[in-house]
Formats: sequence, C-alpha cells, structure tokens
Amino acid sequence: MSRANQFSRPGGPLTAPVFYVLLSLSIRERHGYDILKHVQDSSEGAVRFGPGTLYTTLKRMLEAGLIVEVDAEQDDSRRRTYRLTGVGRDRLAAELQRMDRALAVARRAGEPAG
Amino acid sequence: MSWGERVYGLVVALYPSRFRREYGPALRQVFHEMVLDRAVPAWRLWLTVLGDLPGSLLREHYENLGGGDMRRGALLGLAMGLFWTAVNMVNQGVIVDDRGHAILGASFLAALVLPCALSGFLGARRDGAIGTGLTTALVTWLVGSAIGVATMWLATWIFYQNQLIDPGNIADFRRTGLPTMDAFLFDDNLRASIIGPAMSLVMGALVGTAGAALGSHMSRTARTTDA
Repeated sequence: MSRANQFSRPGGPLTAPVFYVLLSLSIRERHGYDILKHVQDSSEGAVRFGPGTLYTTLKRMLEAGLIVEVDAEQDDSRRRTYRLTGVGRDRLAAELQRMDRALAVARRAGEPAG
Repeated sequence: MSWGERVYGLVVALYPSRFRREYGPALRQVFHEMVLDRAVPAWRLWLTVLGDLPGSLLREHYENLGGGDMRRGALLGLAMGLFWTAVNMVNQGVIVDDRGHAILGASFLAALVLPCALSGFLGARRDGAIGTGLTTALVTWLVGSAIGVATMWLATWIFYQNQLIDPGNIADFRRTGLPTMDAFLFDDNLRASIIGPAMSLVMGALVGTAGAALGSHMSRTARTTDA
C-alpha cells in the first residue's frame, strides 16, 4: 500500500490518534496544542498522547492529503495550524459510517431473541 | 526556559534529523504550552510525553531509513544467511580436500561481503546519503550473521560424527593441545561465531560504504541530469 492511501483503505479502521485529530479538525482549524487539548476533551480523557505522536501523526496525515497546513496569525511563530481537506472529511465520514454499522450489528446481537 | 523544557530539548534531539528540522520547533512549542497549562500536573505531563516517545521515535527512525530499504536490507541478509548456511552444511557435512576448503573459503568470503555491498549501494541510491546505505548494509549484516552463526552450531550438531573423523579437524585438534575433541569443536565454533560476524561487519561496512558512495554518486548524477 502506498503512503498516500494508507488512511483510505476501504473499510479499514483508523487509529485512535488519526480519528481524533480528524474529528478535532472537522470543527475548525487548529494548532498543535489546541488539537491535543481537543482530543483529550472529546475522548473524555480516554485518548492522551504527547507532542511526538501528535506530529508524527500530523506528518503522515499531511502526506496522505487528509489535512493541510494553513498560514494563520499566530502569537508564536513556532505554532503550526492545520485544516481538514475534502479527502480528510470524506475519510472521517466513512469512519463514522463504519462505526455506526458496527454499533448496529452489536446492538442486534445484544437484543433478546424472538 | 524551564529545566523541563531543556530536558525536552534533549528528547527532541533523539528524533531523526529530517523530522527534527521540520517539526522540532513545533514539538518544543507544544511542550511549552503543556508546561504553561496549570491544569496538567507535572507527573501527568511527563507520563504523557515519555509514554508516547518509544512509538513515535521508532516510527520516525523506521520511516527515515525508508521501510522499503530496511526490508530489502533484511532480505539480502536472509540471502546472505542462507548462503552461509549452505557453506556450513557442506563444510561440516562433507569431508573435503584442501582444494575444496579453498573454494568454500572463497564462497564464504563472497557470501559475507557481496550482500552487504549490494544493500549499501541500493540503500544509498535512493536518497543519495551514504549514512542510509551504511545502515541498510548493517541490517543485512545483522540478519545474515544471526542466521549464519545459528546454523553453524546446528550443522556441528547434525554432522557431529563427521567432525570427529575429518582429517583437517584432527590435525587442528592436535595443534591446539586441547584435552578432548568436544572441547576443540566448541572452541573452534566459538571462535568462528566471533570472527565470522566481526569480519563480516568490518568488510560489510567497508564494502557497504563503498557501495553506498557509488549509489550516492549515481543518485546525485541522476538528479543533475533530471534538472
């Protein structure tokens, strides 16, 4: 599989960092620390990672075309801001649909027979 | 700058230089903001940062070396190990004369050197960096040596009876003055386990670097032509 489509394998689940970063950027463009905070809050503390995982994930997502870096007015020039692309939005939608289907299957399996 | 940020600066230095150049300031900036965030206790901050360090470091170093190059280096190492295994089996399973030993010796030398050189050449040709070629040559050496040494001991065990009657072994045993043939075979294999990989490492690194230099030169020439 090429690096460009490693996140767009049909039906394949996304890793937790990729999923939460996509979710975070689907609301608005954000810089690194803002993404980390949002991931932590939206997962209710279940998903936490540091700057290393954040930027290795962002790098691969940039290469895959899921996000782009944008020029934004910054208090600190070291801050880097990212925005979701159309490809990223489609990938997130596909992942949410996959989760919905899995949940529906699980619910049906949990219903009493008859 | 706090002591924590200084320490984190050292942590950032562990990432590959390409990644560090591109994302180093951003990594330090995020860490700085984590430090300023009063809601994050220091112990949690370090737990989070150090917890995700091994995975992200390994991933970046692997990508930096080029996953394809590493796999190719390992495959060449496998080929080197298999050839070394074949030499071990013939050397220990068949009683050969002096001419046979000379052919085996030359084959053994080629098996140690050529895969490392090829691996170094192919690795360096990708990005024009000798360091990349040398690293893939070392991967080849590591895989090949591990297989070669393991199968050498295995061949000694399988062809143990042959070892006891091999004229070359008997002559060497007498020269060493060791008390038993078993002690001689153990000593002989132990030496080969050290000398073989060491020779392979030195020669592989030398020839691998030469191959890498050639690959690097060809890569630069190709880029100049393209431009």
